[in-house]
Amino acid sequence: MGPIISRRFVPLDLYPLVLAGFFALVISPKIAQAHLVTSGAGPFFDGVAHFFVSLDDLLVVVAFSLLSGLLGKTAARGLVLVLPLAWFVGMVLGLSLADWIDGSGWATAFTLLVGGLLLSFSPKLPTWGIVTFAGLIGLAHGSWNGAAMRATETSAIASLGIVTAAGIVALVLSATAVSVKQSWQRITLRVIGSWVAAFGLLALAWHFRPNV
Amino acid sequence: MKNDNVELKMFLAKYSNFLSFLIFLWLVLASDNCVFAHGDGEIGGGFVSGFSHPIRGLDHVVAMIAVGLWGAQLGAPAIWLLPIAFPLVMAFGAAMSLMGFPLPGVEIGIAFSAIVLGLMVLIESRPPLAVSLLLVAAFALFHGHAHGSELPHGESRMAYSLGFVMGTGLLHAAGIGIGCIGHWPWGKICLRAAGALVMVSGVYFLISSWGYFA
Repeated sequence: MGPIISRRFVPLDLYPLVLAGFFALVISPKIAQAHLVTSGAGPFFDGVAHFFVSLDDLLVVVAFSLLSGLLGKTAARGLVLVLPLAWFVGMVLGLSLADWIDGSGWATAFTLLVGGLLLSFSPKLPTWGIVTFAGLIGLAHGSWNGAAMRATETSAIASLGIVTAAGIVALVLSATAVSVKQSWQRITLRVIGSWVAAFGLLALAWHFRPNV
Repeated sequence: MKNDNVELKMFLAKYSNFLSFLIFLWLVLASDNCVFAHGDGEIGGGFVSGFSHPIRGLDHVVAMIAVGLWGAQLGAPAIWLLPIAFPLVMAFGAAMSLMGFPLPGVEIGIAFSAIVLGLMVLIESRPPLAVSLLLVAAFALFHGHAHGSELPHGESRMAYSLGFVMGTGLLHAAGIGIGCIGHWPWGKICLRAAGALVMVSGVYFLISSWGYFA
């Protein structure tokens, strides 16, 4: 299977140049201004930005998307369809039933731990299995987002931004993982899973840390 | 020599993407400018602080790189099992520390990790996979506990944790990358020399932990 960037478009000799270009682009803004709250871009983009700076939401989508891609095209398609939909339904539930939903702390960390472990071990889950996980994760994280939005009186339009961002990340990463065929590339994805699991474990420990 | 050059070209052709990706990741993550997006104490400060934490301690650096070197020497499946196991057990050690479970002799354990892992690389030891995994996991516990007890207050804890895990993982990747030179006879000698260096530094850390160089 081909490399990350096809050699037809980027000859091997040009890799250092391409890397230098990427690097220059990445470091050029001295301050990235990731929060759009003060930019006036509106609640939709606030939602998009919120997803990308909420590590617990972002990383759980990363883990399950990569896992679905490693499981094949059918599993990836199932996740891409179900995850954003479940996230949206969860957000509606969260906004409606905010008083009964408590998403802070250990539950979020637990989903990260499960997602990371599943990705690092990459068991041969059936398609319905990964789709069920995607549905549960989407419902859970969506409802926690919705409840938090209700508590902070954030505009409901931000929920569309969050769902869109989650859907795009799921689509891009699952498609990337589907295209991965070389063993070292698959191993790299599984190592990322162990990082997510380690992060989840630490987040759990932070939650249960005794007051000092 | 000519044969070596052909092998080198084949190796670069096969792994150029992987090496480019690693270099790119290192450059991006090591650059402070791109991650200070949220100011001190928020996500940027926490991530940078966590990412640089394993890199700033030489005892951690040599042990992490030694894990990568040893994995590269052992080949598949150890080359990917060791870097998967290490962060998980290390996080468990940090979790123990965060929740107040004591672990005696942490500094001595860390020094021994450099000595033993360096020795394994030096003698090109090839124990059964379960033994190498257990050895690395045991040392990861000490490193994790030390990290957990040194976590600063006031940083974004989630971002700090992510940076700390990624910093450690990329040190392993660096070790594996360096370990790839073991494809050539001269590379094998260099790797063994690196193992000796790690071992000597471990002895230094051990003597330091007894307070001799204070």
